[in-house]
Amino acid sequence: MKPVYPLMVGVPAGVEVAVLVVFVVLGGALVVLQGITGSRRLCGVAAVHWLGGMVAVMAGDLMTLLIGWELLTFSAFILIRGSGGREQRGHAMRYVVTHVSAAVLYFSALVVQVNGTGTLAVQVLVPQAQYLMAAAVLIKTATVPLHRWLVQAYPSTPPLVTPLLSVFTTKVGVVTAARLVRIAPGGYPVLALVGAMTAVVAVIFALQQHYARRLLAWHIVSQVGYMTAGIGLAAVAAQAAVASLAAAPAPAEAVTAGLFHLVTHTVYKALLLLVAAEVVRHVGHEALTRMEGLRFRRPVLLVCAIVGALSISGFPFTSGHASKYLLKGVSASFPAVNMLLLVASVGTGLSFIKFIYLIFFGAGEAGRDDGVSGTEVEGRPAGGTRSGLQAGAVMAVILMATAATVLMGFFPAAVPGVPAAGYHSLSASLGALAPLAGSVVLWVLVRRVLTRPAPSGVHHSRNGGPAMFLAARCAAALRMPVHAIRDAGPQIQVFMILAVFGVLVFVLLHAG
Amino acid sequence: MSHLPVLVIVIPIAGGFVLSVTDLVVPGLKRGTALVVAVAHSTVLVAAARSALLYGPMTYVPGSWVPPVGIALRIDSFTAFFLMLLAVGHTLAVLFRVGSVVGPRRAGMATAALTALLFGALSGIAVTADLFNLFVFVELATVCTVGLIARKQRPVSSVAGFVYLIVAAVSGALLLFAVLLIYNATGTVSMALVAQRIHQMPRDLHTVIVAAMVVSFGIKFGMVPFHLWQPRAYHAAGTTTAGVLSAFAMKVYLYALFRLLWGPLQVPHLLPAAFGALHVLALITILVGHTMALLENNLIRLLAFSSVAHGGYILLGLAAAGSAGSGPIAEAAIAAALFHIAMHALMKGALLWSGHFAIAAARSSRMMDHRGVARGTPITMTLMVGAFMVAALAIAGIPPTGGFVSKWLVALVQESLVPVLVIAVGTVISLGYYARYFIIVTARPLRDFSWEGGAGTPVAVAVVLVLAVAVAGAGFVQEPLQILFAGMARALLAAGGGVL
Repeated sequence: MKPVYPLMVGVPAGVEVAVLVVFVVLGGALVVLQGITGSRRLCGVAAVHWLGGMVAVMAGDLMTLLIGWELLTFSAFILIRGSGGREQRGHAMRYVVTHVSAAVLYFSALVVQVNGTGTLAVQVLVPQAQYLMAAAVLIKTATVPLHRWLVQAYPSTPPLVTPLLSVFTTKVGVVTAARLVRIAPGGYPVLALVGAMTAVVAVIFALQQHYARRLLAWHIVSQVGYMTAGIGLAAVAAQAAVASLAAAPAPAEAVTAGLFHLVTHTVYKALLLLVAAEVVRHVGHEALTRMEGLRFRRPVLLVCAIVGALSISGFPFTSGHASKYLLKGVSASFPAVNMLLLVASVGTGLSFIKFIYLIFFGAGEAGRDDGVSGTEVEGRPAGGTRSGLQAGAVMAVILMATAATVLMGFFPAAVPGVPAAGYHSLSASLGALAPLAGSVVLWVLVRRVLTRPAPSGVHHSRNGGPAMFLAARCAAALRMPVHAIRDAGPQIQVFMILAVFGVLVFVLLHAG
Repeated sequence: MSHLPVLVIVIPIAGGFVLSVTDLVVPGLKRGTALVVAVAHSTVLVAAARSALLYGPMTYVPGSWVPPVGIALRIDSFTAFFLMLLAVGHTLAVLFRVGSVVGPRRAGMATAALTALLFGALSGIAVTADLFNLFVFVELATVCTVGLIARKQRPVSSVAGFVYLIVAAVSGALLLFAVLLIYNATGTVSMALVAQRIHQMPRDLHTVIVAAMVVSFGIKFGMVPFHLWQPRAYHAAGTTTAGVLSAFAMKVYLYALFRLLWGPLQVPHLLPAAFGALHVLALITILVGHTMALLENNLIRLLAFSSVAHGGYILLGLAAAGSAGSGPIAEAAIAAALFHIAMHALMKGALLWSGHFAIAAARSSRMMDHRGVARGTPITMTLMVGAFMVAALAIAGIPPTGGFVSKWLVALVQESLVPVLVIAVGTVISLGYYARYFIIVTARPLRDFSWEGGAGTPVAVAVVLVLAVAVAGAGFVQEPLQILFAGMARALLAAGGGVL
């Protein structure tokens, strides 16, 4: 009898140590923040979420990893639902159905694997399982066009829940991909292109957003696209290694690049989301065009936000630069991916110039009580005033994340598993500044378009996209016949019994 | 102790008569008597199961009339599994019924007697080694079930009872038809002798008999498209009885199907194609059951459709076992089906009986009427919703619960990817409807609930909690359970030759 739950956990090696440290420290800080400022009821759920993330990173076998996935899914379901209204309920439902779909694809892959090899101790995944796994990972990492669950759910939660969600769910998808790339080299080269496309498409959508956390949510999709691209490049490299092409980078390097980007991104994205939460608390809403220039009232917040924005844009001497530099190195042999990531960099820089400008330097052309619509913190009243302890705790985590971003930027090689490279050389810095220069030029050109206020009343659509629309139509179409059948009286039932009996006899008589 | 096989049947049936008399003469003693009968029956069941597990199969011939003439009872390890299931079921069901009704009892309700008789009939189905005797016990179980469904004097119960009566009559007629054909061809109704003589039977006749048996028991455990009586009946019967029917009675009909196909009918040797048909029926059952549950807005009916779907999972294991012949894969498939039977019994018991509290508080089983029930003041209500959700996660098959293990084992014995994907789709759909119910019960309440009527006693709460903990914990003791179930599966395969 083979155990179904081997339950092997262990401290991972290499750059995954850094992932674990980020999960434990940052996740823990955010859970504590929930306890101090959020509702007590959600604090326990947040702790389960934290635990799920740690289980997933420390999982020594694929079944334990699945348990980590499920812990994350169901705690996130409760966190997203919170005590919100109809909109949050819909998002929570969509979230759980999406992630359970990913989990059952993973489950099917495991079944295929065990049926093929007879064991859960995986050396190489059988080909059929690799495609199922790749599909599961694509859902989990919110690659376009499977990203809707993320951009809908994240901005509608309470402001302090969003950073917690952003730390774990998609990142665990990337960690899974990194695990799998070693055992499933076949299913993944497509990930490089899909990830890079995602990075670009999501940035284009991010540029169109008018609300702080919606913009950041689209950037999560985009940045996770970078990581997915990195992992996919590792698969390309693995295949190239099999074909013994000399120019290709080693697969381990690409995985490291992807995971290092995960580490840096998790930190600066949590930083930016916390900044957004502070802004929301201060201003009472998150419509970017109606901010009132917070630069004088929150100077420390401004500095932290600028650090986060520079980092996500890949400015030299920030953590984002270091990880993107590594990614650029491994994508050199794959020009299409390289170009796409470059375009995404330009868009990211542009988007965050807008973010900083509108929040801290914007004129706030309409007063905040113009009462246009319920555009406040979407779906709920703002956090309002908090005690000194609560505000201090949020600022403490923000400062901590800022410090981590700066330190990782100056000393990237100090992060476990990350190789020393010419991060701070002149060519690297110029290479990073070139797309940012493009961003600045674009900003000057299209500033008017980007800072246009949100058209009132259309800031989000209720219908959940074509898939949900189709599902709803199918359900509606099914309802009538289903109700007719289920209320069938005994005559129809007896008729059906006899009919099926006849068919069964016929089939069996003619079967062999 | 050699009379154990017959005591397993005699005690509950005698207990049923005692209970019906007590009900009329001294209603105050009814609860105590029901408990005594249940505990006595369970003790005998466990003793018989233990004896079969430790010392091998035992055959009991009442009055020393040896089979061609007389009737034999037989208990092997495979039977022992179901005897233990019935022991758990009878005790917990009576405990829950006694514990969940607060206040004075109404006299004249034959529920306790019918429950005892039903468990007696089910035990009879499990231990008998005679086809006509099997038919008699199936009919006895039908009569008890109709009584239990129709006992609440409401129009909906009468209709449901009537529908079940008609459908079960067709099922009984098909079973009798099959038994008569067998007797006509082989000259005996003893399962062991039939198994020896069935090889000489014409193939067409054998096929008709197999189809009749499959349809007959398919009706009883709710295989699609014979499942339409089930939601109506469970809804009319109420949660407590629905728990008995779904968690335990349904499993015994599946047992009978296993026993008949492998034993007297010798289907794996003579008609392996039948398992291909059962495989397809199982897949349809899973998909239709889950889909109908998704479209349902009544909690009991939803759980009834979920039972239909899970009957499909068990059938999927059965079909895989039959297709595999008699090797280790067949053994693994039967063990997987047994694992799912055990898990589904615990899960469905936990779901229906924890749902009882919400239904009693809202005085309705419509899900929209349960809005906000989890936010109720009594701590028992929060506990019960928690137990419901644990069982829901388990039945959807989320690791690390026991429900995941059984789903995993059933998926592992499948030969192609299609059934695995069907199981996967079923998981997503069932998660959809349980998540929707979770959202409803944790929303802000719009109305007041009647906590006094619905609170129940600590006994009922304890029964539900025991079930929920067992469901959640079974995943961590799955290795010894798998070894145990594999041994039971071997007993079924070994008895296939027709040992007397």
